[in-house]
Amino acid sequence: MRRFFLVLILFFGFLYSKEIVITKYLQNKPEIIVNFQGPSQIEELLKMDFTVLDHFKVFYNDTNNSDLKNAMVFDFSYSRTNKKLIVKYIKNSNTIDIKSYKSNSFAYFPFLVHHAVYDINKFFQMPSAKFLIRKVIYSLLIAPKEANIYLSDYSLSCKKLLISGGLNIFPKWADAKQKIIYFTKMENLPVLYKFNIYTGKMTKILSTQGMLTVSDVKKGKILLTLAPHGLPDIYMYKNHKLIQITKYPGIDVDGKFWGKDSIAFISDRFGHPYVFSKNLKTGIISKVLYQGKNQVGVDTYNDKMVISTRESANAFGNNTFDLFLVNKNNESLKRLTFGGQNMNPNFSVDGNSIMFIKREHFFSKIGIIRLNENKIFYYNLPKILQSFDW
Amino acid sequence: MNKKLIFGAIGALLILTGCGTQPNLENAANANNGENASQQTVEQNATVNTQNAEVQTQTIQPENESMNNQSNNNQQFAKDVANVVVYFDFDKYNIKKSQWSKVEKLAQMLKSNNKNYTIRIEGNCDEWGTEEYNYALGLRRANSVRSALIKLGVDPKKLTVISYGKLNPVCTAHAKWCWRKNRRDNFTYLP
Repeated sequence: MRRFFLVLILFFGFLYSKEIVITKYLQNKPEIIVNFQGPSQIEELLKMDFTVLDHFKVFYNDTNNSDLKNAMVFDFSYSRTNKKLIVKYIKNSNTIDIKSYKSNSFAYFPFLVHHAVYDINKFFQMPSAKFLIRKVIYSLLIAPKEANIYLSDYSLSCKKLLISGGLNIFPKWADAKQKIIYFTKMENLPVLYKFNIYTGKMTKILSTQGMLTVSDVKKGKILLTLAPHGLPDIYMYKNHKLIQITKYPGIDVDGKFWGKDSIAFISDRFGHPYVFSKNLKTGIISKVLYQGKNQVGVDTYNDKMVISTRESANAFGNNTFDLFLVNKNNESLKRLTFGGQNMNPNFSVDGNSIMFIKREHFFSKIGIIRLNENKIFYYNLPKILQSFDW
Repeated sequence: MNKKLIFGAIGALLILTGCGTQPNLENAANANNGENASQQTVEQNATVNTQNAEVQTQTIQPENESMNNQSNNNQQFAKDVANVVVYFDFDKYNIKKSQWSKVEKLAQMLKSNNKNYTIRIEGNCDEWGTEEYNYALGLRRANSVRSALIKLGVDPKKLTVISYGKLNPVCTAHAKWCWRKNRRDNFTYLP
């Protein structure tokens, strides 16, 4: 009888919820007490970090709770005068460590908070939380034919203008340390530049007729979409040489390294855009997923792939694009979102999270899917991003 | 170690701004001398040319007029070209029957102007779909019209293509009538 009610509850939960939320680690989460002194916006961000991370059961400003005697206490204090965040690690009333985080401007406090939470996660030896300290670069359309590139934290709480003037689009991190980016500037022809965010040094890499974007970067190899003869195809740029990967008289875009020997890309060779993969050893091209009316977004992390598919037949319908997770090894398929237009999926550097843009009723949100925790978090996006990378 | 990481991350946020080289006094003096020298030359030339001033005016006047006329013609041609807009169906890059007359008219305009110029065909898309796919779709739209113009006898050397994807909307309302306006090719005259 109890099982019947459980199934019934789950069934109605499925009907009325837009995302399935399963908390796998709920029982094992370490309990911690977090005290905070300082501006309220920093406290809000701190709470958001712990919520999105979802590795702890956090009690805020709750030191007198007798049930939490053994819980570790983290005393956060932020001083606006010296722009310093201090975190005291307290165990059994003894301060066992003090960490200090400083920035040269108040506006950069999100980076300090993310670092502090990342360090606490590391202290408990919990699964990687690198997404917290990754920097995000994004391009934002500010006027027709004018887009700027900005640097931000993962929550897009602060932004720093990096490149402006004209159309600066498709920014992509060029290195693991996040010092250099690639981006396309639309001059008379599209030009690919390399830009060092530390020194401001800008180097011209390539220029061609028609189209030029960086789709993926891996160990010194770059996947590009080029159209030197008017037909967009996937190319690999390696040791200053261009290798053509696809040759099709239609549209091939968005190449991604997938597994050890394959490249995934989007092509309209079946009439509508779908995700295909090309095995670089055999040269065989095959469709990856037979799901949805078309597939417009793809990203990969090792053997994992996330695809954005249009579910409804009406191109302009309300419920259009959902995200699916595919694994190359076991051919498993997992639906990640239900409803809305979920597009531009982008794996985190550790592959444990996916950032994407959700559009609902023509408002945009940034979504973060925590794959191991089976949770999705959203925060509002004031403007529509052209593209982003983290 | 942690501190290093933090300071490193924050350091990444600092964009260095450079200052232009300031001229020293010696250069400044030289520059002034140069300025005086050039002023003198102008004055000398002015004196020399006084006698021919009227003659020169008479010769230059008609040239200016013809240059102005030419410039006006070019401006009118640029306007006429810019007024042509070819529209496309959702997710398509083939030229619709209803748009063929516009392409033919454009071909006629380009063929009747034998001067040295370039027409940039700019492909655009509506807000649906991802950036990269739209970028490619815009390019295919631009290329469709380029191929058609070449078939209609336009010199290929006069044509260049570019895609703005969905980054150059003429309409930003979230409605079908607006999306229809954004799925288009524009044409820009480049002298």
